[in-house]
Amino acid sequence: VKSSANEHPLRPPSRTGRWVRLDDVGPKDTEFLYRLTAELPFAFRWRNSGPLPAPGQFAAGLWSGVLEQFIVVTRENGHPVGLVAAYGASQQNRHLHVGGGLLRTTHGSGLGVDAFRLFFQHLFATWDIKKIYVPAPQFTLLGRSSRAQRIVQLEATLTKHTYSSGRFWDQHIYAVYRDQFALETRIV
Amino acid sequence: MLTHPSLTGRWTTLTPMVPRFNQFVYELATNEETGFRWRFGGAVPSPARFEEGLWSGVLCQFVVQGRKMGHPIGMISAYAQNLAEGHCWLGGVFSTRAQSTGMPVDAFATFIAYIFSTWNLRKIYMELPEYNAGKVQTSLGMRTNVEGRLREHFFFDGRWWDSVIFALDRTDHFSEEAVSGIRTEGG
Repeated sequence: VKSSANEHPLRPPSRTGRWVRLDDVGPKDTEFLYRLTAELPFAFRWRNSGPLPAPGQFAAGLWSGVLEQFIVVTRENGHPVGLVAAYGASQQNRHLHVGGGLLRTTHGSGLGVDAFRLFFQHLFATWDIKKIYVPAPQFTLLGRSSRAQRIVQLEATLTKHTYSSGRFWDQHIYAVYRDQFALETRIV
Repeated sequence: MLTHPSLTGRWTTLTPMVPRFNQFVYELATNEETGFRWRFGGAVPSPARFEEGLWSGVLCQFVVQGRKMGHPIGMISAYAQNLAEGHCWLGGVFSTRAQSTGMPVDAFATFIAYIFSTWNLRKIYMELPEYNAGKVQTSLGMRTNVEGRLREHFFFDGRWWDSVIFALDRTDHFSEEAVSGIRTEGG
């Protein structure tokens, strides 16, 4: 039986989407990640719950508790615009958490949706997990669109949990299930 | 007047977790009936690895001792604290023989009062397996708010179980007077 390279069962999942690519994180990215964390502190509270650490300490903690993470770069010019990370993995219980964010200048552009879709696709293809948790403050757009509501399930609302812009906000914990994700995105 | 938070309840005392308790805590964490609830999820780490991780991410933790018996019956821990935003998580594990007594609840009540009294926290979260959540909520005798239910969150005894997240809100029950009241009643 002949099979093309595209059909090879060991072909790694693509990390290139319509607008972005997920690149490996290297030492060169530390400065960008520091700037990103300073710009979007609420997106990285799972990593830095207190003050932003000094750059050296920040670099040392970049992989703590992390299963996989990628820099999000634009296909157009290869510039880094964000980070997606999987952390808190429980192999026994087959779930993990996903966090991350993209620079404010990209918001509303569709780059974030593209990046997270690629990352979920990569995680489900690479790891035998059944469920991905996505904690997100209520002011983020996650789960607002009707399509997103078919993929993400709201499983917890921690009231007045996180502080940003002068007030407390609820923290939502969404879950993405393998079967539902596959059904909606037509991937395995 | 300044009063120190009490570590003594009606039936239990919270004792600092000094090295002499390491063996007890290790057995608790690896015991077939209690170990699955801990961070190792039923796996048995080496004693060295266990001790190394015992204080990771912990705000404070105590060994629980029965006041009458004087020997340890469990361990209680506040962890994953975010002091800037004012919350932490609470967990505990108790030996099988202590589970059906009122001692775990007594220890939790003392510990909760201690935490709210010592740190300026707004909320304490607990995450409990679905088969235990209702019982603990009722036993605590405090107002608790269920804030989430993580479906099929963990695997134990051949099946999947939900995990229930509930929160204790300082403003609901833990005014300074209420904390003092719990301390007085407990002590």
